[in-house]
Amino acid sequence: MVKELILVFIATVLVNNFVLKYFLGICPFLGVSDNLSSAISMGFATTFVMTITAPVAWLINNYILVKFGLPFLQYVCFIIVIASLVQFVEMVIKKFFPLLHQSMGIYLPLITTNCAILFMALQLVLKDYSLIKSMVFGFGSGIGFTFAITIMASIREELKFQDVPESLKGPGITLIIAGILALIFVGLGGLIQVK
Amino acid sequence: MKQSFKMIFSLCLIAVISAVILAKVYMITQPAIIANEKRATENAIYKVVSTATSYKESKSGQTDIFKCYDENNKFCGLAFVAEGVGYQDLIKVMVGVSTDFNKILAIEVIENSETPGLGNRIVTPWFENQFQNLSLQNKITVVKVAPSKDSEIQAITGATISSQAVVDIINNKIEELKEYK
Amino acid sequence: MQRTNILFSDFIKGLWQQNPTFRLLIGMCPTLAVTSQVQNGLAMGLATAFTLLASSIIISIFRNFIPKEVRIPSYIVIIATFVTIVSLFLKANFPEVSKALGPYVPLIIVNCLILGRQEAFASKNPVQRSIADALGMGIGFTLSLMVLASVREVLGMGTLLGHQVIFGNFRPWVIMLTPPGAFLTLGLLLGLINIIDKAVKARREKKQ
Repeated sequence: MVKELILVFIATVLVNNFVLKYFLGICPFLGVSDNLSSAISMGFATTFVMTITAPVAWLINNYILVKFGLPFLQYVCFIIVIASLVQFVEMVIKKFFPLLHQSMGIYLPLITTNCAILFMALQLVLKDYSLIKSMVFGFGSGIGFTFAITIMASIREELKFQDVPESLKGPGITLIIAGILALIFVGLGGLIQVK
Repeated sequence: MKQSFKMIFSLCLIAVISAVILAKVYMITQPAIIANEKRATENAIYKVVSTATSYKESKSGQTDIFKCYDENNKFCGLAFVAEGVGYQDLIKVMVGVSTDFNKILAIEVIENSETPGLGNRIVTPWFENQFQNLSLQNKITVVKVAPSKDSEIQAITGATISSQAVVDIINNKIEELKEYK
Repeated sequence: MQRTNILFSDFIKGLWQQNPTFRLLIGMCPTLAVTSQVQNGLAMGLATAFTLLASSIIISIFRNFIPKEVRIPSYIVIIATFVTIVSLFLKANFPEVSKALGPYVPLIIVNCLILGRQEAFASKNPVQRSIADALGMGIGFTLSLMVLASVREVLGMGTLLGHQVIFGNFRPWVIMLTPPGAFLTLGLLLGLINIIDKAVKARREKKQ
């Protein structure tokens, strides 16, 4: 049981990395990765929201949507849940952790439109994960995103001292590097097979 | 106070209108969606049991089994879906077997997300046709050269894992069904 | 006469100057995910364009009735409703396309392009201009998807829209169909577009 959860976690972070394999969270990935500390802050904020979203989505799906035969309201419900959770998390952090809010607060509203969260919520429903597995999956996908964006930020910090062709500066070179990173991660494919 | 009321009211109104519209659209599209899925399954059944002109659905444990009948209404084969994890994600195979479970009539890979150009060549006729008339006396095995026994198939070059996955999926399902028979 | 000019410029800017993918750099997720084949890129583009158009119209019409404080959640619910409709429509009438686009259809809801245009334009402008803006952005988005998909499909499979276009002993570059290929192609295309844009601007300045 625990072994399976560990495998799910590793698989979600490395083998099925949300950014480099499924193209999720690209907007923040391109936008926030030029600075290492903001990248890490964005990563943690996203992971935090994703870890809470997973069980909430699971509960709403299994105890409300399915029970009342409303599968077509899935998209609307989940996105409302995500938007509300982000709002709620922002309020909580602002009140109880004002210092934290100062450093990563501005990233929170952007997380609502991070396709990774909605995708994660829909996947755990599609694959019919248990509640625990969903939480691990949510946490893992957040960590995977953080991992990718941190690697990218570290590389881009170094890039500042390099001679990047004018036309490729910014998003262009970022995408090319992402391509090389994705290539590396392809090598991890098949390492762990999770149902 | 009036402001909050206005906010809550408009949000609720939008939510309710949305729910009503979606319920309606759902009801309208459901028949077509279900028909599409049924048609896809049927096409696969008729592909793997080529002499079948009709079928009857039944269950063996957790699996749906399709008993196939030819044009003279004679029982001519069984079809079922086997699924499992491949190299990338889920692979689903429709398998047609003979009435005595002695050999495979044919298979069709109905769902996969394997690597394009490599693993996903499990849907090519070259690979799928190898399973025609394959003996089920022993477990099916994968070899890298031309098969010498009638329960062997040759793997796709550069896609051994995907090829093995298909074979494992089929073997496991057959084992499971043999128990219930 | 001036009215038509404004409408026209609202429309045309989405095609090049403010092309969502290559200039505004929004809505990248589906752009990379479904462009391994032109057919899928076209379908996703049209689905997004429809959602953008429909929600822009609704939001523009009701822009004075939706209280400011709840505008973002309201927009999101409206967009999600249209995306659900599109998804159900595809599943019922084009099941193969629905399967090919797979889990990326619901992600249209969080496509920054749509929410961005509502916030920046439809919520502040009359219906006609919102329609022009939505059409321009939607078509611009679809075109950019098709450009990216064409490169990937031709190099990755040797086909275009399913028809063989490269003959002879061409061994397809399978990498084009995988994630690294998507990133690399988009990055290089962006570079190319920047070069073109600069050249056009330079020539315009020279003329003056």
